[in-house]
Amino acid sequence: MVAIFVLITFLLFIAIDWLVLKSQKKKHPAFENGTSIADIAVFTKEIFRAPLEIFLSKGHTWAQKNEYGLIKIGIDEFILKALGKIAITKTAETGHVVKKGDVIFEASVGNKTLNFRSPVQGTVKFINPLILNKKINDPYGDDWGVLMAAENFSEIKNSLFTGNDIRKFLKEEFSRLKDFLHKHTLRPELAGATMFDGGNVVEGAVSSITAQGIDEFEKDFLTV
Amino acid sequence: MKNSILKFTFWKVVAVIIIVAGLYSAFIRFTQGLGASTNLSDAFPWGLWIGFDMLCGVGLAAGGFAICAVTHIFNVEKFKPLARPAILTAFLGYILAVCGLMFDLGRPWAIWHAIIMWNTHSVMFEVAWCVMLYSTVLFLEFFPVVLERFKLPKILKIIKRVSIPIMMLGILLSTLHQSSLGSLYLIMPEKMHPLWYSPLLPVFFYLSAISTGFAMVIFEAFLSARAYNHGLKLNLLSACSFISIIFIIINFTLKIVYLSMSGKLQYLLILSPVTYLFYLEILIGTIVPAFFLSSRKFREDKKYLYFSSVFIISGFLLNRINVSITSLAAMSKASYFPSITEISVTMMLVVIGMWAFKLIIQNFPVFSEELELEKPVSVIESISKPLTLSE
Repeated sequence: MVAIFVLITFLLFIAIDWLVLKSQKKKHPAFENGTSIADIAVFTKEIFRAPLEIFLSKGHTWAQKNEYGLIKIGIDEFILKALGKIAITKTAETGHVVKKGDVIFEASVGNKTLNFRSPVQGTVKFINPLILNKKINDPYGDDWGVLMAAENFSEIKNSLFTGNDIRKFLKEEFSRLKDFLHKHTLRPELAGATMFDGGNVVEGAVSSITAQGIDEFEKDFLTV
Repeated sequence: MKNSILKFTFWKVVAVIIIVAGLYSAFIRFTQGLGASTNLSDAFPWGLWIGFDMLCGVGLAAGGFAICAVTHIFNVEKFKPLARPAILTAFLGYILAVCGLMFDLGRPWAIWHAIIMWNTHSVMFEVAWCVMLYSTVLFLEFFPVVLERFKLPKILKIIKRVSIPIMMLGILLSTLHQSSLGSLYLIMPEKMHPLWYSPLLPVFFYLSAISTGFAMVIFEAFLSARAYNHGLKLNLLSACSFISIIFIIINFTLKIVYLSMSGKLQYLLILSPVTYLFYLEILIGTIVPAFFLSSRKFREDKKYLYFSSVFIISGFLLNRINVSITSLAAMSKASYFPSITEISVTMMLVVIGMWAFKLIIQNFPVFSEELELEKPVSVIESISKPLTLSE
């Protein structure tokens, strides 16, 4: 009897919760349709955290000095969340001198291409051979792009964000992204009906905008 | 719009009623004793508080060690997003199991005796130490989340350096503890119904804890998605369900082999309420989930995934209550049904656990992935060193 009582209590609470949701005209995530928001990963401005040792540019490329004095360059997490599946297709070649603001990575988002700009000035010494045409999963870890011998890094790094400033910057970027999506998205439901009421943004929402929108995204968000 | 704590919702009202009733029951329990507040007796000394709060609570908290084992021992990194919520659930589950124990112990103020008065021949001694140590380990496993929240990178670096040994210790302690809960019943073979008594009880408890731990991860993901509109990581949940069903099938096979080899299959033919409960446990906890989760199509459908997790948890609850209450009641002929006090205290502990979980995920980065402070120098960087030197 006790076993039946415990089982019925557990199932009763689940059933009541289902009725409560129904009375609120909401659906349990298990019963949402395939294209519902519950199927789609979302992100908020609160999720962005970066390693303490990195320096981030306004163009969402980061720089980190390694123990041999080389500067590792990569793409930040904000871009991953905004664009969804992204892969670097080209990088500046080994031995090339790159100025701050020059294109250092070319990346593909679906059939569109985006240019990412170097946060520092220097010579490309090494390209991560595992990065080309591979979906970026670990932006601050294994999925870095190139190693550079930077010039005047101690001066240039003062113009980059670090520590808490990165969080503040990415929070502001999140707000800008909402405005941008509102202007450009072809599928407003992916941005979420409650987006301007403090709601979340769907991961990869930018990839669903027009080709012209992608160009504007590059201009608005990827300029150093 | 921010949620206000004063905003009334159906579940808030229900939770407040349950907590008020629970607090009143706690008052009765600690002022008038076990005899006045429970339906326990000398013939039936372990009831709902042990059967549900301890045996089910600890088993349902097994998701923490199961996910940690997958991510940190088998190095399957894709499960990492599930680790923090699972560790938090495990930590809260253990804390609440200890709270439940405090209600059940005749002299709760003497609980610390196990620390210095060692009785190494007692299974309860092992249980007590495992609970103490594993709760501490779970706190340490969750501690980085607190440090990240309060931005204390120096301490975080130290904790991260010792995190792997801590995780491994946690898995070891949890293995000992989950199985020793089953060992508790090995000392009373003549008092348990033959369908549930087995010398393999520690193995059954351990295997069922793993399978239910993964099912709880799925169930909890749906609860979080419902409450916070988080996206469901369906691929990970589907993989969890697959691991869960493998352990369910192993557990079931072992049970059947044991029943047949020990000549106990005949008890399945004795039609009685006890046998029906055994059949129900197998039907709900094994056959139905095995039917759905053995098909990839169903595993990748969130509706079936959710219901399968509900079935697995239900089967687990039935099994633990059957072992701890049904089987003992059947043999002792003593009747037991929990009193309102016992029920309200148990419900209060569940509600406190859910509120604590909600409060913590609202204020700490539980659903964020682990922050890597230090990446080891990769092979590629090592290769790049001579390049630097040569130029």
